[in-house]
Amino acid sequence: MKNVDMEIEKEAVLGSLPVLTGERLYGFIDALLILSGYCIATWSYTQGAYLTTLVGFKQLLIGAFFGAILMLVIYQLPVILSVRWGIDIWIWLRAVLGHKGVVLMSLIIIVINYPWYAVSADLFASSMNALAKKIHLPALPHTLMSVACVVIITPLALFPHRANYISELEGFEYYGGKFYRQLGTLGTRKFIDDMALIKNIQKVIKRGDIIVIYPEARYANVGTSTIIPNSVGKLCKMLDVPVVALTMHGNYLRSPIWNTKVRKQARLKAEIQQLFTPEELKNTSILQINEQIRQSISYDEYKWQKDNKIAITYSERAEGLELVLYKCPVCGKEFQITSKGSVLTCTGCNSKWTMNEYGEMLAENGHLQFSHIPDWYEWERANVIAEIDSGKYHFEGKVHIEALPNEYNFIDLGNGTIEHTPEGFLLTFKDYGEKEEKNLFFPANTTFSLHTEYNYRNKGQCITLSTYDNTYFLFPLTEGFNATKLQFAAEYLYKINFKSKGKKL
Amino acid sequence: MDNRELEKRLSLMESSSYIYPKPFSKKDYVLTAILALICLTVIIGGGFL
Repeated sequence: MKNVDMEIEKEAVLGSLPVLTGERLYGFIDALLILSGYCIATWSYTQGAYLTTLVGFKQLLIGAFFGAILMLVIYQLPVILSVRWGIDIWIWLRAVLGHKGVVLMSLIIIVINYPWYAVSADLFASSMNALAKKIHLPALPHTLMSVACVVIITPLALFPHRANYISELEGFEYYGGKFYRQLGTLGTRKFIDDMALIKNIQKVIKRGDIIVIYPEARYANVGTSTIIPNSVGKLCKMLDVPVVALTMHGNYLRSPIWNTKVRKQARLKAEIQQLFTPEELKNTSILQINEQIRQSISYDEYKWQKDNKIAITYSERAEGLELVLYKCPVCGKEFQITSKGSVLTCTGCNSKWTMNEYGEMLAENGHLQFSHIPDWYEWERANVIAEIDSGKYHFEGKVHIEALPNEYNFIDLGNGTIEHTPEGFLLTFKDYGEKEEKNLFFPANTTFSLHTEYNYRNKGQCITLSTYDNTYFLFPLTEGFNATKLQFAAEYLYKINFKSKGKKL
Repeated sequence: MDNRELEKRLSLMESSSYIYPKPFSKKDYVLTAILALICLTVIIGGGFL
């Protein structure tokens, strides 16, 4: 007889025999501790998490503890009798109810328990969903693509050499600091003067390793390159090592930041080229270095799509595009554009544009249009610049604030206000643990650009502002907040502030 | 084997020297009922918080 069969027979025989007092392994205290442990590990987490979605904290405690005790004292009374005789509860029930009675009782208990099974299945499903997000399954495809670029494409391009990468602290919070560091990632905050990061970069170079920098430090809102600060050239000159540019095409088309659903037809293509040797760096000015870097990683994804005849058939391909194309080129109204499927509609003047499979915008009623999305985007930027130059630019609105002081967790700071003027951003809020409101000012000449998100962790659009110790994620609560417009304004205000100081950007 | 083992165990349990766990007394049942009532009261009261 096989071992398995023997075990089954043993269980069938010994499982029905009465257990003698002296054979019992656990006493009351042992059973209490062990079962309490199981309960905390399973019921408390699952039920606790579920109850928080329904009731407040006091009612949660009552529901979790008193509810469970009430049911258990009634439900478990027969257990006391079967335990006293050392027999299985179902065998004891057979003596009371008979064979058919036990079968009936089993069916009744299964039916009664079904609502609980439904809750458990729902909890299991949501847990798996959360886990799937944590390991970057298609629920967050853009994140998947971002990580893929770091962990697959770049290492492939650099193989057999290893590299260190620079990432915002938020990435450490999302993926887990341990995992992120194992990838060789150095943390920073966006658009601050991070001297610690410079020292870390120097350390990497000093030990002979490669440092990978994403010099734009932001998403490509419409698949075009953005301005790179002169400090990148300064850094190259200071490090005095070969400079290599790696440009990726198709990443934006595959999963644009304003609608991250993966478009499978978009292929990825990466180009790598050496820009400078250490000797060439010595003989080249910082401005020339920057110019060459800018040229080498200049891209226009929609042009690339058209040139390579990449048809994206995803039917909802324009949904979310109104977050970057927020101004109607026909009536000039802002934030009136809506999207559905592949169509953008201005609710102010009823103009419609259809995004074709090659990423071109076709006007349905023949109005003035930008068929090339980046042209529309740059037209909006020009409008913001004109607004600032005419002295009319001003934004103020309520925001919900979440702070990320470390790599571990966000802190909900409640609501506050953000004001953007030509002088900079003024954030008014109550900091963690403080009773009084405080003002935090971010001068225009310190915000080189602005980090924008369009559906950050399914919470909608947001911008971030960073100090050396904290990053504030600002989610709009009032109309008129548009992350793209604020970004345009911040970038231009930085530029004119620099020019007013006689510096070259 | 099972019958022999069963007989052996039953005879042991029937012997006067076999010590059973203490039975649930009337006091225990009353305490259980009180506990159930307290829980029920707190749950109903919790609904008004």
